[in-house]
Amino acid sequence: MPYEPFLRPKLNGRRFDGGVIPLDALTELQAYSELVSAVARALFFQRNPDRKRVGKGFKDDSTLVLRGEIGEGSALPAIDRWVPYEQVALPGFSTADAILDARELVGECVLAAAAGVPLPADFDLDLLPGFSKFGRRLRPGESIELRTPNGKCGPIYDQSVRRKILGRVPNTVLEESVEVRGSLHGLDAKSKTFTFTHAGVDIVGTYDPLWSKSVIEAVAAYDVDPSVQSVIKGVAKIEGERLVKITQVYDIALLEKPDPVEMEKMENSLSTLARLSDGWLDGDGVAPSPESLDFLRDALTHLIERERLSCPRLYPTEDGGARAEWFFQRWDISAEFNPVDRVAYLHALELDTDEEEDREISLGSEQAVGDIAAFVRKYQAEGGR
Amino acid sequence: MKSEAVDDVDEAAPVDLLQTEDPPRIRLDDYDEMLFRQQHPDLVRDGIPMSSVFEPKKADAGLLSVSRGARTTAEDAFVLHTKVKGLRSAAVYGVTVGECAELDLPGYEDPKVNPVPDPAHALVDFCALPRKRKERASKKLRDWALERKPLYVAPA
Repeated sequence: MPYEPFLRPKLNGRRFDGGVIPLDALTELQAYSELVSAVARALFFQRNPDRKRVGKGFKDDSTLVLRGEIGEGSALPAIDRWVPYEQVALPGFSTADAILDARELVGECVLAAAAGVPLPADFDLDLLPGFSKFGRRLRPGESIELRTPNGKCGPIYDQSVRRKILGRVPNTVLEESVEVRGSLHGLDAKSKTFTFTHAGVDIVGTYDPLWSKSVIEAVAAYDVDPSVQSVIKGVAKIEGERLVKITQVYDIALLEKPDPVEMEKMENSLSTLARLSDGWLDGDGVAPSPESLDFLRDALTHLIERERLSCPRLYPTEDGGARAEWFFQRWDISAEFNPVDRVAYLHALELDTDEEEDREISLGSEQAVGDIAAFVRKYQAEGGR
Repeated sequence: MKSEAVDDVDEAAPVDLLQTEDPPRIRLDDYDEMLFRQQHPDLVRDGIPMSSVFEPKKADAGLLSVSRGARTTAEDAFVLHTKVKGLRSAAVYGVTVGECAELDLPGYEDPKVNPVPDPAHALVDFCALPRKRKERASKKLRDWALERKPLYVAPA
């Protein structure tokens, strides 16, 4: 079969370490293929305004296949385009041209969204919802780098870029992969729904019968001890930055009690911050507010309890925020929480090689703590190698 | 760099702002000279200073205050900082002019007469660095300073 190299996406994130692609992540590649096909179809009509149909070769031209070629480290699948017959160069803009241009256009959209600039004029805005399926199951900290066959790097598509693209669709309800913690206390076996309290708000979730036993166990544990927390991984509907419904579950687990030594260390660090008063930094320096300290307690509890991270060294910052720092071998990691702008600035530096990465995360987002955890865990894993 | 990275102009060549002053400040050129930095007691955890200790505060307008090893000692710098200026310090760390230069951080003489005579006062210029490079610089300076251990520790 004749195939032509089309894309060499690089899948980054813990699930793809060791060059593997979990089968449930293949839906992302399928969604990408559908998106490119839809964009190609739109491009074809844009450039051939007299045509009413794309022609029977379109389906063949837009067939993308996955070939077994897995790189080391992150997963690097090889996506090729099926070239089903010897293509005769016809005058005008062919469907094969459209597929290649669609690949470029999708990449340009991702770059534009990441940079916060308008999408390319060629892009038909009616196709924006095509990004809804693509990336829906990408988890915090994961990304797909859309490398072309000869490219050493490419546009990076992750949850934040996806949100920026779908945020341009009016009245859109975003669905994305989440990991949320709370109390699972209600169950309706008939409708296969459960009630989950997250951040003080009751949310309804639907589950597949596969998860019936886990849901029942979580509710039973709550009945015995209402302080018991569960963590749910799945897909949720997000409105603005608020989680409104869990539409799909991939995992439900009861939270283990946190390591008491690390939790005590965290409480001591927070108490030290709470004792500061305005002017603590030789006349400068704002004291952290109770709200900031509450946010930090929640965030650090999540990092220690769920992510098994050690309690960071926690320092005050002069604007009333805090800075968490970890060393993982020669990786120096920091997360600086700014309560005024409600953002966290994350930075990782390998002290010998100067390899580094930074990120800014909005603290208003439902996924903020999960994103911070994913960033830190990535370098914890690097440091452990 | 990742798409969500904060500084797109990260690798821009730094501009030496203090050299545009008239008359220009005198640049520190002895790469072996030690520069002392005071460690605020609220910015240390488990014996490790926060990396931002090696970065200017907002009020310092991008200029990190240090004391020149060629003009004072770590102990004398500590005494001037705490006893004379009335500021707080738990320890004194040191980095060299050469280490700063390696990070594109020029050092300048900045002797003070008022309100307190401080002939050893000097500045390390962070002005030209975008955020990501400031982070890198402060972490590298801390790493080198920690390797040297504190050069003076406040008496208990």
